[in-house]
Amino acid sequence: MNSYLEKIEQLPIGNEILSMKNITKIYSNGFVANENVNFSLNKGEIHGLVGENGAGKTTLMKVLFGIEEPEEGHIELANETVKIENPLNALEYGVGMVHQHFMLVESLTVAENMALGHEPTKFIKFDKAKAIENVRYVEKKYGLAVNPEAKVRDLSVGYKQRVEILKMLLHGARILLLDEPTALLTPQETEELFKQLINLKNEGYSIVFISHKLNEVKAICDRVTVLRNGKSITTVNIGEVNETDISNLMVGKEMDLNIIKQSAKPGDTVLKVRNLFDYNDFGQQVLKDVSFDLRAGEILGVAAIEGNGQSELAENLVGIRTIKEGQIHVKNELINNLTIREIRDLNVSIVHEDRMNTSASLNQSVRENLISDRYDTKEYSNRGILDTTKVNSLALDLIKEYGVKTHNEKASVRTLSGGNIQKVVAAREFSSFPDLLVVSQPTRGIDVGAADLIRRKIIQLRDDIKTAIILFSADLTELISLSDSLIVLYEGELVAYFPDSLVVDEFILGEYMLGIKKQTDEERRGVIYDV
Amino acid sequence: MMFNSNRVRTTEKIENQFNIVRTILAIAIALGIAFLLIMTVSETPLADFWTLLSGPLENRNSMITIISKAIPLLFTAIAISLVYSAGQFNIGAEGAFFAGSVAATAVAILPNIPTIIYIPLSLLAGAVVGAIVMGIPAVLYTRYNSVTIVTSLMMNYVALYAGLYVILNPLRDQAAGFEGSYAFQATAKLPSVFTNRLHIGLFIAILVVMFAYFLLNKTTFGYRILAVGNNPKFANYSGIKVNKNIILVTLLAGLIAGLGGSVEVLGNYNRFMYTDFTNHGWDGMMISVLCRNNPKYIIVGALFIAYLQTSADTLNFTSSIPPEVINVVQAIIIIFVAANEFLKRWEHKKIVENSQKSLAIGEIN
Repeated sequence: MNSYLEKIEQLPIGNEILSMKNITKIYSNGFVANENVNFSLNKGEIHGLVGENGAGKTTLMKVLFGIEEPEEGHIELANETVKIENPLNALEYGVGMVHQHFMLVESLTVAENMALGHEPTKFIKFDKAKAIENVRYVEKKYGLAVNPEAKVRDLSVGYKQRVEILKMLLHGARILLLDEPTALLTPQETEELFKQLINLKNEGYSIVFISHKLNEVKAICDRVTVLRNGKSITTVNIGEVNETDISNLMVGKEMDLNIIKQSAKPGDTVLKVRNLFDYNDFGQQVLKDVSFDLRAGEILGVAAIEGNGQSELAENLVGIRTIKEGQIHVKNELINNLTIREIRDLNVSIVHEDRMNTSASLNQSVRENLISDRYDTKEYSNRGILDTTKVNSLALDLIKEYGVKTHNEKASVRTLSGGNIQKVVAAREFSSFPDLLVVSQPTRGIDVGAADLIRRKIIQLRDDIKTAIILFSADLTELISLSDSLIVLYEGELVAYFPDSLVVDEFILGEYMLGIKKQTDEERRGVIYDV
Repeated sequence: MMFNSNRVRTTEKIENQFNIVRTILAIAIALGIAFLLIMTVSETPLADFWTLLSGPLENRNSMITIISKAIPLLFTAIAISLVYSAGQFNIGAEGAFFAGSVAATAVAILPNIPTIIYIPLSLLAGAVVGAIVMGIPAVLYTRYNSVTIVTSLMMNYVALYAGLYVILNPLRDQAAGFEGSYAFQATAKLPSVFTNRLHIGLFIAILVVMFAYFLLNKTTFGYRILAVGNNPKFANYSGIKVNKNIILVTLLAGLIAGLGGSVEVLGNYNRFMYTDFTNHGWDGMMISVLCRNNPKYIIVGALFIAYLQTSADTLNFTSSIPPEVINVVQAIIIIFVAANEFLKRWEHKKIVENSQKSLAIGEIN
């Protein structure tokens, strides 16, 4: 144990263990992620770090973990200035980070993963027995059960996260940085995680908890620091604020978190899915006999834990995946053999879940991203030649209407923040007044302001254009409040249908999503109106 | 929300400036190394180095040589920049150029074709054969997912040896006394312009450059090419047929490279006399990399490379310096231009300074 770790150990609970002073970090694309940020952490506290997407939370933690080098500012650990050069170095100072996307090698076992970076050796050989012994030791010490010999690829998301946390503890972390740890967890798994975090806290560990879910921050944190536009706005004791207060601090203005919408007035069936089956590249069944209808002016939510067929369903609906078995009709036209272009020509809009690689082209300009679905229509081109004047004015109008923060329409999309990229995508897909909108994870990882705008636009489409909307979202609060009716997928099968989303809550959905419950055939058949 | 960006530069502007600085610095470093090389073999290094730098400027003849050398490079550089814009590493321009010149030869030696269509028909033949040579790897890629850089490299050799076979067998003029085809019909030769060492291929080349610029920036097909090249997943999601557009743009590139081959033989020679690759395809790749696949810069890029090659020839006549020195210079330039991390720390610093400036005057990011 080095001197820093000893000092941390000896520090009384409640004293300041870590302080980041005037941190400024500017990325090579010119994006100012942190500007004079101050952050302080006490021993034995869970400290919430909140802010809109692009506010600089993750960057601040990357600076602390030695992944990013700040342009200005310094870090004090137990009142001594330290320079954290890289993650291994960070761990020597007792700082461990659990990333939003796990840094685990899928094909290795739990013990092998946990040993990475500090592999025990016997002569020159990897000492597997010792690695397993190490895992058993920390597993017992912290009461977090894992099987050291299980392969990581076979584990659930919650389990993998446990492995990540244990890994950091094994390598000596006394300060844990958790970047959106609950983003991919079910409500049940989240509860489990919270119990573990509170245990750690009681043992004198300090935890930074980054989250977009303010109810969780409220539930588990002692203090919360709010970042906005790369600046630290304030740090408050959690008892002094409620969720609305935090949200207002984040966006800097009064914001209504509630989604206000009238009840739906559904029209004719727009989307008809019958007996849809699908298989992945390994021949495993990913969709099993899925049938449902979606009517004009209605929002149908699809609830499922990641990997239960929802991504494949969304891609089947729009032609990105070829339909292998079953039929899909859009406005009474069979789309099984249509190309994406032909399906889009039926007035179908698509917001894909993969914003960075599919819905947007990062190296192209905002303008080019805004016209990808209509550049070759009569309105914007004539005999193969683009009407640059019209294209430019469309781009400027959409930038204004959706409040996209960009230098100008010619800026590369990669220079925008996540929320603004999603606004570009939404601006394009929503502005064609679609009859059918297939929208996946519309607000994942983006700020409250952008999320609110996008949600309001979705409801506007439903009411003004009578768009039929199928919504895939991992954010159950959003899914329940935005949708009119809901279906649940479990292992590729439609296991539940709720005609009225108001009667369900996250825990009821969770039980169906985890496969604990399943509705009768009778109940599920309700989702087929157009027999 | 739009921000007034007059006072501070955008990050992209800085990135562009650094691209220019990188290119200039690469050229400077390459010339520095050339000087060291010259010192090792020359007794009058300073004079020889001066010849390398300014040789071609000393007389009108060399200037014409530069333009003449640049003409074929414009075709191949444009061909390469089109396929690269679509994200395809097709290096078949060399073979397409060669096969195009063979096909143009085959038509240009035919007797009894009406005079006016001699030239158009010869050029067309070359272009079509060029399209086939470059197009085959694209079809193989879209159909069988084969690796384009490998198949197109191999296609170059197929084009070379098939072309040589045709020239040395059915088209060979035994009476010539050396390995060459029959002489072109006089009416198949491209008319000269300005001087008897330049031909109308110059205008065709400039038209091709302008066409490519217009195509990429102002047309729906150009939009598709760039979407496919920048992000095929996005293009597909948007409803663009990725494979179809890859094949179309590659065929177009092949047409241009093949046309270049035809223009080169019909403009400069009386009969086909190549016995190996002409290197115009490889040089075109280099120019395209130097110009970052942007047709806007290709004329300058081609003239630059032609200039270097002309000075190499001059050096060869006036000193003991081998012309290969210039190959070294070219290679070093490309290495530095293509090295993305070159000057990255400096660039990062500049961007940071600029961002801090914009923070200071209250523009948010």
